[in-house]
Amino acid sequence: MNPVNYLYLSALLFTIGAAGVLVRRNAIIVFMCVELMLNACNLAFVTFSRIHGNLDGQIIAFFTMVVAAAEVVVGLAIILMIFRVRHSASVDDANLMKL
Amino acid sequence: MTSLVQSVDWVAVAPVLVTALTGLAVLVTDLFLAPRHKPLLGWVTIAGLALAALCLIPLTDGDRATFCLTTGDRQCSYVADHFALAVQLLVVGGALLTALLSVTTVRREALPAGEYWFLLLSSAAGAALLPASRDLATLIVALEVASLPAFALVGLRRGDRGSAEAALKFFLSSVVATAVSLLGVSFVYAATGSLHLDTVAGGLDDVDPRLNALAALGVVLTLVGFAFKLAAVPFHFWVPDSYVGAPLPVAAYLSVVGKSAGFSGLALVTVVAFRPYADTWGPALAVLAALTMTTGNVAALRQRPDQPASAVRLLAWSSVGQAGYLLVPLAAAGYHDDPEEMVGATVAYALMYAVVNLGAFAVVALVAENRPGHRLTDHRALFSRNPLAALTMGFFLLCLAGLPPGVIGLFAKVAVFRTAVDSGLGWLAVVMAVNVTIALYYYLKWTALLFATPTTATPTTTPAARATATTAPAAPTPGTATPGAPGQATAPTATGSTVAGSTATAAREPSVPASVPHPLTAAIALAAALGVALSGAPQLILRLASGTLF
Amino acid sequence: MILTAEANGFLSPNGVEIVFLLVGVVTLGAAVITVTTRQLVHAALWLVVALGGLAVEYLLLTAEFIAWVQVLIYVGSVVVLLLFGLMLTRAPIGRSPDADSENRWVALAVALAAAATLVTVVADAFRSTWIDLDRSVQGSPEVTGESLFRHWVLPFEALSVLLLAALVGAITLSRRRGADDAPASPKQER
Repeated sequence: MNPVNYLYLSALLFTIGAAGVLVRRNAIIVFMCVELMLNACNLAFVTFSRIHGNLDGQIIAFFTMVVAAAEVVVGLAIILMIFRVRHSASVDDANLMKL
Repeated sequence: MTSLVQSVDWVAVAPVLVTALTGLAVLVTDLFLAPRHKPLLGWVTIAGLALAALCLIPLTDGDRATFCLTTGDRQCSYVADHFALAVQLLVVGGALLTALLSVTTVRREALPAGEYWFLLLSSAAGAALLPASRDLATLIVALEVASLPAFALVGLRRGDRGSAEAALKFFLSSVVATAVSLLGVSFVYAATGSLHLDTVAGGLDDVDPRLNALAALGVVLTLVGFAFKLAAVPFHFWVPDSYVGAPLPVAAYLSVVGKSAGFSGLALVTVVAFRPYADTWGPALAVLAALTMTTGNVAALRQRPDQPASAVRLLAWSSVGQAGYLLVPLAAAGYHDDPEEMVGATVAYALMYAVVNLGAFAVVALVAENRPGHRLTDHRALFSRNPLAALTMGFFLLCLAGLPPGVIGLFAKVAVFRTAVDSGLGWLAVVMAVNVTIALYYYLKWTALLFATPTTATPTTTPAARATATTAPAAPTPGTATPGAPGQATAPTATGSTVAGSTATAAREPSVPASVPHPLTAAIALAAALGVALSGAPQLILRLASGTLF
Repeated sequence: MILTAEANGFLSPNGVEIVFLLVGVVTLGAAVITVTTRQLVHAALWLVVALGGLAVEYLLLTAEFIAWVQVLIYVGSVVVLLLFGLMLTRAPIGRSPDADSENRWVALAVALAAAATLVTVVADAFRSTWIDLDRSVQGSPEVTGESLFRHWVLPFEALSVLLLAALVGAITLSRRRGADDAPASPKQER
């Protein structure tokens, strides 16, 4: 079949995630959006791996998953810590974009 | 059939391996150590990093490679060439100085010792792996190994609101940058079918015309993750808050080792892997460099000296400005016929910057021993209180500014400047010259502050301290340390009267600090010695700037 | 890579293409709901659907190993962790107000522009590429493992450092201050 459909799906997922990162204000939701972006990258990797017929793409997709898991662990610890300090998981309070 | 697994050249990977294993050893030792022996862990860390630096010596030929493919054209994942060795020296040395800085902080702020040293060493191991890795998978993983422990280090001052928010901001933006970078890597992989940098370069040489746009987009997106670590300008907004929120040694670490991860990754992907697309990343990096140095320096100009943590904030913005200079040779590589020759200037500049910037942070830490506000005004008349510290700080600042007697700063700037001129980037050279001039202003202002006469100090600091009384950290009476207080910590107990009172005591404090911690002195002495040695013999690092490192 | 156009397009859909289409639509829908819903817990649950859909897509691409790792790591642990995070930060079960920022139209415009760019670039590049999914499985655990340990030992080992550092970092960050700190610390903090 034509692999471009998988790539459309990947591109759309990536932008949905990116839009979520820009719009949402709850740190955990922002985090879910980042996971969507990473998953979109993985889908692209696996599709390209299939197109090229070598496994490198699948290997790096696997690495990405492990990296994402490690990020989730640290990220949630930070979010919990910030919640403990000020009882909110909203990013706005953290002045994320303030210079 | 050949061997099923890759052969490993243990000597080649020793600098990285020793760093990581020291981290593991520290973590395990921490379990069995009585609390009063915990400071020992800091010294184990320092010894491990020194050993890692020694492991670089047998590699100086720069011809080792390991983790090679067992099939095909023997692409290697790990190459210990001169570029890798120089950056590894920077990383290990930077981590060593950071460790010396941290010994006091860990004890004073009651940070969890074993974990702190382990995270520092893991991050250093990742940053040391990065310049030696020669495939995109290892590069991305190494970048993550370098940054993930750094998130935790930034947030380590538990219960401190500024620290937690700094960590969250740093973390979320970094993770997004990584995701964008990964999408770029996937496009590059799509266009070339490989992840090894040399094969990628070969593949990009003759890309199917239909994949041209895809490859170009992939090249640009890949740069994002590394530019973020370097704190180049659209990706710099996390810097000031993270530096202020983090413990001071961690801020110093991020400004040097974190940046080295960024620029070495950028150098590898642009000059080695994406060389055929120089007309895409060259202009992108040039614009990035111009934006970065201008934004950093202008923002540094606008820092108010009497605000809390203004010294750290100024160093943060100046580090953004310096990142711009680091980018200049990389941008020049995009315009030059022989791009590999340009990278050396970046490495040389980074080595100079590492030494003097860590030294500057060390003196800020020293001043904070008596006046923990990290304000610029705390440095007023430092010369009359501690002449040696003031002289070294003046030297570091002049190096950063690029003025004699900071000869090495001047020469490194000239080397960077020359790359821009050589490759016909006249406008970038002009922008850089203007920026160096802007930067002179705030570096010299700070230097002048060090040597101001103490008599004028009292009337100007007191109103400043009063003005910030509601948010100012509790100023301690000399001799008693308040853990966790420096930086942005809001101390609700600091009423106006106590602040006014303690300011008065601070003004009357003895001319020599009561007790300067030895590790801190050692860090300053080491940085100063290196800076003076380099100023005396600049060819030590400037020879990196001539010829190719790869 | 085969960059040749072939005659049999979508006009003759086979089973794989139909499954792809269905799962793809579900995945996209779930992703959109995850990003837009005002109920935080629902967002996490829809994320499970999106990630599970992706696992099916991996299976369709015959990346078996990746598909199962996706199920194990993402659906099995990441989402569970996220749910724990929502629980511990006491996310309201119902609608939570002010979950969005004001700049949503700017964000939407940026996202649309990004989507348009990505889709056109991808379409330009791979419109006429053809892959044959009827061939044998590409990413079985056996070949993936072989490739991993023959060619990718270094990043794999680096990942081990990463995981340990993440573990230690998370424990250090989330431990309450003063509970079991070194007695060297003055006990003045709350």
